[in-house]
Amino acid sequence: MISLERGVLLKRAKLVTSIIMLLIAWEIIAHLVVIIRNVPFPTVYEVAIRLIRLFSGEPLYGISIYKHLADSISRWILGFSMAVLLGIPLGILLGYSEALWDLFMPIIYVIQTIPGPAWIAIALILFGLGNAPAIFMIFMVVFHAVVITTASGARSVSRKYINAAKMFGADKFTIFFKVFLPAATLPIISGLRIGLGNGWRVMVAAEMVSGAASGLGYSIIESRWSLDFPSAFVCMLLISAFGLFIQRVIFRYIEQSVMRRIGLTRAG
Amino acid sequence: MFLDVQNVMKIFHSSEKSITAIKNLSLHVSKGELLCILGPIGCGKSTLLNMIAGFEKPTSGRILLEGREIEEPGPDRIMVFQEETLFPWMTILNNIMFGLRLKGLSDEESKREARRFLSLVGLERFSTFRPHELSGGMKRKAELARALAINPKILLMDEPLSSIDAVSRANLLREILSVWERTGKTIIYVTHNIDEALYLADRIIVLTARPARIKREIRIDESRPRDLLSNSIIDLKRDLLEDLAQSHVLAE
Repeated sequence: MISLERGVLLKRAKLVTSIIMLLIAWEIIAHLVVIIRNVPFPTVYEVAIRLIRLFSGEPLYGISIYKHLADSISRWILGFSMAVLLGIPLGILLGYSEALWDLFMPIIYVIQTIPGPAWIAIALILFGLGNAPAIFMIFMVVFHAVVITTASGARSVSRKYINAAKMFGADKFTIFFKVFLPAATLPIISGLRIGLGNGWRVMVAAEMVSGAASGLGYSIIESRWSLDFPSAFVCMLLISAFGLFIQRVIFRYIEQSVMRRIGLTRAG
Repeated sequence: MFLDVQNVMKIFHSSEKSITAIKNLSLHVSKGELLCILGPIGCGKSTLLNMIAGFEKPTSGRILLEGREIEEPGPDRIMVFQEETLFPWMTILNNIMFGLRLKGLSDEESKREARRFLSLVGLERFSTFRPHELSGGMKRKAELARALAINPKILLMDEPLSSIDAVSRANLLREILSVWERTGKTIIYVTHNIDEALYLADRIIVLTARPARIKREIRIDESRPRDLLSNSIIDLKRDLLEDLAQSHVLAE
């Protein structure tokens, strides 16, 4: 037990060290940039002060940082959940039926080649300015990730189970609901994981280009005019922190409870 | 004739080329026989088994079970695959009940039957476990129980022990033999391991490298359990090794 705890402690110590190394590197670069280029690169201290001020309610571009964060999260949740609600069933169908796969997969692959922010033209034509184009762009990026991962995963992972079920005399209905769907759970989960990260990242880009008047991405792009770079840094920190929180805490919790339910543990 | 493979040929087509996996192969298996099919890796022995199971169709020729041509997979021919196919989201008991329910047994009956076959392979204490909680050898036994429970006419085994460690392998071989002796099932056991074949088989068929044809057929009359170090078995092994080595050279 003692050695286990020591291992955990050591791991934490390494994590803290790596964060400190990052901060030191940041500080050095900031001072170098100030000296060499003679422009104000935010230091760790400046950003920390800015962070405290913003968190104690000082407005950023007219609204609080909490509102920016909440707007970003709600756009992301809307885009993500719509993509998941449509993408998972479609992925399951494409993974199940060879004919549907041949028919729809080429379209999905075309969509996949287009980076999220490039959807701006279509988004603006369809929705004008405001929240909707950002949500649309998140949707497009999450959608293809969910469909492709679910469909191709479901197709490969379930083949052997379907063969076994056929052998025992299962009809199509039984095979789909009792065998194919449970077997497709893992690919569905990894589709969600990929979609989650993709969606969060493109959310930032979408807010930069889509004319949304709030959000973390918007706040970063606004620093072009306001020259409030410390605030932009604070937003970057929030994006990273919240992104990690979604993937490491929320998603891992969901993933593990599903895994336990279907009797699987992920290797490693 | 129980199982009759008549002049079967199997050609796989891909976009670049066609591969003849099996050529003009005929084979008769009688009821209750334990037949081992021995051949180099990749020679087409799994393809033959897949065709008997109904997962693939012969390009030409026919396969008949009790006079009826095999068209599709069905519960009269159960395969124990090389890879593991227990459903990971079900308990061991539910895995075994899956086929029984499909046969039309009530929940109560299928539970009873499933329990009976679990104890046949010595897994009665693990009925509530999920597959991932069992060792590789135990999972094989569970698959064997699942296959036997629905009382198939013929049991097809495709290198079932190839991913099992040596100690469990010896155990499982004994288990398979005892199951066969107690149930009198017809078993076709495909392997590239000569010892497994010598330990189990009434009859061994050696296939050539691709395209697979029958190279040699040996009947083994030694009583069981067999001592693999006895002189007569070692003589057979020497012959088989030679056959396989030739097949292998041809394959390369």
